[in-house]
Amino acid sequence: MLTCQELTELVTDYLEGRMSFVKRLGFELHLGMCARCRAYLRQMKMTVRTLGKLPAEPMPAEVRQELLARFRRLGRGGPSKARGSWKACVLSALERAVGARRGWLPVATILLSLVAAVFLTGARAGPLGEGRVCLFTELAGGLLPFALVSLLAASSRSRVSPAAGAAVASFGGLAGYLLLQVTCGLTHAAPHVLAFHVGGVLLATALAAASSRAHLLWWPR
Amino acid sequence: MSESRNTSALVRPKVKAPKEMERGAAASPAPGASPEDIALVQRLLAGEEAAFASLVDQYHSGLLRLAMMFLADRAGAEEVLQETWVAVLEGLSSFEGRSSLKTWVFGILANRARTRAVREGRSVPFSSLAEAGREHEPAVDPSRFQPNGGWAEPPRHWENDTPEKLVMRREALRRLELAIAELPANQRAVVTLRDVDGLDSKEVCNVLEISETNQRVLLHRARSKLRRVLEDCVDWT
Repeated sequence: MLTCQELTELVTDYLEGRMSFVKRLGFELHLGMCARCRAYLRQMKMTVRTLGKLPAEPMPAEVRQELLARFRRLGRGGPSKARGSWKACVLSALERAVGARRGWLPVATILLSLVAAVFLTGARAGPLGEGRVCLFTELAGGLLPFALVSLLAASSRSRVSPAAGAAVASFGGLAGYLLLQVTCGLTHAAPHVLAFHVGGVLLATALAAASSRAHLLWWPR
Repeated sequence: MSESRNTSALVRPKVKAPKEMERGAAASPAPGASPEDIALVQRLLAGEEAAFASLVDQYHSGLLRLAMMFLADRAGAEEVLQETWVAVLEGLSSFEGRSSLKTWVFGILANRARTRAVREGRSVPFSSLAEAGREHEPAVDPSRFQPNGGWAEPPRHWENDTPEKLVMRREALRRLELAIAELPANQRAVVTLRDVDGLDSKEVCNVLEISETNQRVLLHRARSKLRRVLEDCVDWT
C-alpha cells in the first residue's frame, strides 16, 4: 500500500500522465481514502496554476519600438525579403523554384526553349510553322485561366496548390483543344495533333503545376 | 533566404510527428500549429504590424528568460533575442506548422543561445543533467511524516486563495519569484518553460535537449519546492 510520503513523490508522474495502469489505480485508491493527500494534490495543481499567472516582465518601450521598426524595414517580412527590384523578385522566385522542386525547373526550361525555338525560327511553312499557332492556342488556353486564378488567390492572400493549378490549366488547355478541332486544318495528321495539340495541353499543365509549386505567381503585399 | 533555411533546418528535425509521441503522454497535447498560429503567420507574412506587435508582447519576456538561462549576461541574452526575432521574420515563410508557433520561436532562440554559450566557452547547464538528477531531494520535508509514512503535519487547506489572488499579493509574488530565481538552473529552466511559459513536456525536451524522464524529475523537484514556498504565503484564515 502506498504511503502518504510515497504519494508526494509520485504526484508529478500522476499529473504528467506517466503512470502504469496498476500504479495509477493504487494512487487513486489512496487519494480516495486520504483527504490530506487530496489536499496535497490540490496544492500542487494550484502551484502550477499560480506559476501560469505570474506577471510578465514589461518590455522596455525602446526595445519594442526598435523591433517594430525592424519589422517595417524587413520589407513586411514576406518570403522574399529583397522585394525592391524586379531582378531581386525574379531571382528569389527562381531560388524558390529550385528549392521547392529541383526536377521542375530544368524540364520547364527545356520545354520553354523548344517553344521559343519554334517561334524564333519564324518557320511559316512545314510542320513547325503550322504547329506554332496550335501550340500558342493551347498555352494561352491553359495558362491564362491559371494566371487569373493565381492572381485572384493572391489578392485574398492565399496560394493555389500545385494540383489545383494543374487542374485549372488542363481544363483551359482542353477547351483550347476543342477549339482547335474546329479551327485547325491538320486534325487528320496524327503527329501534328500529338505534338502540338496534346503536347500543348500537357505543357500548359506542367508549367502551371511548376509555377504554383514554386509560388512564382504569388506576391505578398 | 539561406538564413531562414538555417533556422528551420535547426529546429525542424527535433519536432516529431504526433505518431511518434510516447505512450501515455496524456498531459502533453500533440504538437502542431493551431489554426490561430496559422492565421497569425499569414498576417505576419502580409506585413501586418499589429500581428508582429502582439507576437512580441506575448513571447518577449519568456524568450528573454530562456536566453538568460543559457547566457548569464543580460546584454548577450538581449542580443540573441534580437537575432531570434530577425530569424523568425526571415524564416516565417518556411514555417510549416509541424510544431506550434511558440515552440518554433523558442526553439530558434534556444539553438542560437546554445551556440553562443558554447562559443563563449560557457557550459550549457542542461546537457549535463543526468548526474545532477541522482541525489535524492524529498518533495516534502521528511519531518512532516510519521515513521510509517503517514502525514504527521498534514498540508493545510488553501481553499481561500486562488492563483489570481496569490499573485496580486506583493509579498507572495516576491517570495515566489525569489524562490524561482534560487532554483538550480536546470530545474528553473524546466519549470519556467512548462508552467510559466506554458510549453508542453515534449516541447520542453526539444528546446532544452533533455530526456523526457529527466524533464519530469526536474519538474517534480521544482514544483515541490515552489509548493512549499506558496504554502508559507497562503492565507488560511
